Amino acid sequence: MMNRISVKIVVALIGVLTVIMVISTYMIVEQRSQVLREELLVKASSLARIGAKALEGVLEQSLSSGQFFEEQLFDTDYQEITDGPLAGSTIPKYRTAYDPYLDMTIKDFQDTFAASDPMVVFAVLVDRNGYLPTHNSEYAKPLTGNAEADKVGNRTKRLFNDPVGLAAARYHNEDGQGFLRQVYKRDTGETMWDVSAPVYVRGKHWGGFRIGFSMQQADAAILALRNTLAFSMFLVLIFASVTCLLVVSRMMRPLKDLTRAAERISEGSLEEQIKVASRDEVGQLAGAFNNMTQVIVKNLQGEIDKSNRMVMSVKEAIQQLSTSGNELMAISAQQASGSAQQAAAVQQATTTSEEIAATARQVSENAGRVEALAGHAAASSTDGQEAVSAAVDGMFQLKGQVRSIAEAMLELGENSQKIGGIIDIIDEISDQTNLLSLNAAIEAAGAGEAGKRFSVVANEVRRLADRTADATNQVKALIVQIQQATNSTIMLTEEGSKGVDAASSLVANISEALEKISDAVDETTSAASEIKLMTQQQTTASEQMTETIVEVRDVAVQVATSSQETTQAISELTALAERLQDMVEEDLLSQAKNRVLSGARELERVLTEAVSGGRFSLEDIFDENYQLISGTDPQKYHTRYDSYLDDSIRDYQDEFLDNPMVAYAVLVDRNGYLPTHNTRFTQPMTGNVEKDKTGNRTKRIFNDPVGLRAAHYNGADGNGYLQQVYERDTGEKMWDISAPIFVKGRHWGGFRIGYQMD
Amino acid sequence: MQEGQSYEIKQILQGMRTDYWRNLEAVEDVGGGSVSEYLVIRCGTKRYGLLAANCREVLKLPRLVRVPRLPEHLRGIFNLRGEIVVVTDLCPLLGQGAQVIQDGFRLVVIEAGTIKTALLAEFTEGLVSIEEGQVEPLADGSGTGFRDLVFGKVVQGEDVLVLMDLGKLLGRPELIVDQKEKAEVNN
Repeated sequence: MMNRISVKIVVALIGVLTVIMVISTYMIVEQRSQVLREELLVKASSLARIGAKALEGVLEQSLSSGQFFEEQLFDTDYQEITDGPLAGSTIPKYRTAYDPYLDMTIKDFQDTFAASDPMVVFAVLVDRNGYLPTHNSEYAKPLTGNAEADKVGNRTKRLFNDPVGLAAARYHNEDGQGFLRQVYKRDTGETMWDVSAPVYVRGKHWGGFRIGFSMQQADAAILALRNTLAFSMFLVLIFASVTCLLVVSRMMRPLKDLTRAAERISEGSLEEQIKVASRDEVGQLAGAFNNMTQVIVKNLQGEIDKSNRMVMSVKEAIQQLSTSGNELMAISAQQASGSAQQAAAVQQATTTSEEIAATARQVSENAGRVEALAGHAAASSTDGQEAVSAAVDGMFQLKGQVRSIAEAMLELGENSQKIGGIIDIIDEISDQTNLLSLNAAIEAAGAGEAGKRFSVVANEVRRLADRTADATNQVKALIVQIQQATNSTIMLTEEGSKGVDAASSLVANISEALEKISDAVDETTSAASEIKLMTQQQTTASEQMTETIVEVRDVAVQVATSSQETTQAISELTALAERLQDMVEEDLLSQAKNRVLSGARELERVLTEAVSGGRFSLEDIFDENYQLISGTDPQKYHTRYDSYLDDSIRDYQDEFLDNPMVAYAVLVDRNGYLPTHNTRFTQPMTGNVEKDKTGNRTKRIFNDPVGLRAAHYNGADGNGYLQQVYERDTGEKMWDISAPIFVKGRHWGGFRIGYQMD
Repeated sequence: MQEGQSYEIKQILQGMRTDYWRNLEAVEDVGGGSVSEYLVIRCGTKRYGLLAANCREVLKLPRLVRVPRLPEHLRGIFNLRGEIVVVTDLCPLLGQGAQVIQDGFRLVVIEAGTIKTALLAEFTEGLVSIEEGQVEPLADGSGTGFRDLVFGKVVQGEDVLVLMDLGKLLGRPELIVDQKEKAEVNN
């Protein structure tokens, strides 16, 4: 509804009208109420001033008649009323010197004022302090004892010193206007005007005369005016809207016709012409539209070709994109798995590196211990070396001493041999002495008595010689013992010397060994400290390595994440490519559909005209008596109508092959018989079976599944066309789009267009 | 051992000194019977006493000059201060085997009558004084040949000392004259 321009225009107009009418109503009401208020104000001020003047007269007369002195009249010593009928009021009431007099004199006057106009709520005299000596009768009812009722019913002799009351009482024409208007809201919600005029007694400001105007009536009048105006405006608006709608709808009718024509053109009826019914803008538009259609139809074919080429390019791009996407997907998957492996490897490496660090730390500690132990060993080895060198010294001394002993023993042996010699001498001496003594004894015996004493001496000598011989024998035995002893000692010393030599060589070996040990210990110490240093470096290095590995791991994790993102992006890309492909294919399908349908209609027309033109009977055109063409392999056939079709539809069919995607565009009968192929597949026969199989395919019966389905399709599914997707033996993806062909209401066959999709 | 030896040496020294003092204090004992001095020698296994009066001197065995074709008991000759003395071995004469000469053998020069010879002795014990009463006749029946050459025997404990009659010994013809004949006769 809202899509209709007429409605839109009418709605806009109504909106503008509504705004104008609302604004004018408001302005009229405002102006009227202003005038009403001004009139009311004039009236109220006149009333107030008249009242004030009259009450001035009353007051001055009371003075001049001697009723009151001036002081009494200007009494402000307000006495609270504690007796009489007004006593006991919840709001205090006051008495002055003059108020009873005023009750008598001005009450009626005031009541007359109040009754003069239903708008006047009260008309009262107040002194300059707001004291109200005499109220209107309506507000001077006897007290009832009910505080709320009395508050409204009995308001006389109170001090009304609220801001409005005080302003009214104290106003003495400072602005020269002669009256004071105050606007306020009553507690009942109605707007009240308090119009007051000052009251002077003998030129002296006594107080004021206040008239209370209720604005309820005025407001009601203004409201009534506003309602009346609004209602009449609404009626005008309705009328205007209906009129507009009718006019605009009528004016829009040619535009609608134009739109329908454009729709028909868009649906393919390019020959559509619009009747130009008027000379106005719509008429001009229709003329221009006709011109435009002609121009567009001219350019459309070029554009379609261009768009086809573009679609081809886009298709290729999409295929490349799809392939690249798949490759990228594989790469990304590899990358993801690689990075996962890397992460795992890095994890292992981290663990290993930490283990290395731990091991290095242990090695370092052990090396430190080894160093300390090697230090101990070095000290021990030094001690050992000192001990060994002391032992070597001792050995040398011992060896010298043993040698001295051996020498001494040899000397002893020699000496004892010498002693033996001497003993032999002594033996000889004793032997000779023995002989001598014997001979002496013999001599003495020969001498007889005289030799007796001599024989005693000789005996003694002999005995001494015997003893000497005994002694020498003993000495000899001793010497033999000594010599044995010395010999054994010498042997022992030699053994000892040899032993000492062996021991000293052993000790020398020990010393050498200790030196080697010491060297080894030194080397061990330095090696251990080197190991310690190196393992410390190793620890540091492995810690750094751990840090690096952790960084690598982070990077790997990032890589993994980003590869996931990449995968995501690629899959999105692939999906996009597929969508694009779908879109392109959809577009292509719609194009193909249009073309196959229009092609089918054209061929239908050709066949139908051939029948209606009397060239062929219906029977001829539905001829299924396929005549073998001899010498053809695969087999080719003639029918009654095929040569006619060769002349009449080949060019038309070939036009479809201007689109590079179209591989073939052929008419087939309901059995798959192809009477007339495209020129491309109707090459002259060469005799080469393989070459002719591809170069000349006309007049064959294509009863493969795809061909048969296309031939049999009669539009029973309501689609109007049949799309078959298949793969050629070359691996190309093909679309076979076919539409049924009817001649005189009979299903004749179909029109097939083959699209190469790759 | 040294202590033992030194002890022995001290003992010997003490013994020697004691003997010396005893010899100084000894009173010369002059027996009532006739006492003869004998030089005791040992030849082979037997001890023989030679009357000191017939003994001239005892010599160490000098170098003997062997004389061929002498009887068994004549062992050789030697020069004693310009005098040629024959060395006689008693053992073959007294029925024992000839002695094998060794170091330490002595020659006892004896003289009886005109005959002077040196007896080969294995050992000379010294002079002993023997009273006539002590001498016992030689009882056992050893060879008649040399019984007449002996005074008798003296028994000293277990040992037997045979006292030789040097006069008769030296008077034996086989010692001096016609040695050849005598030898043949004896044979």
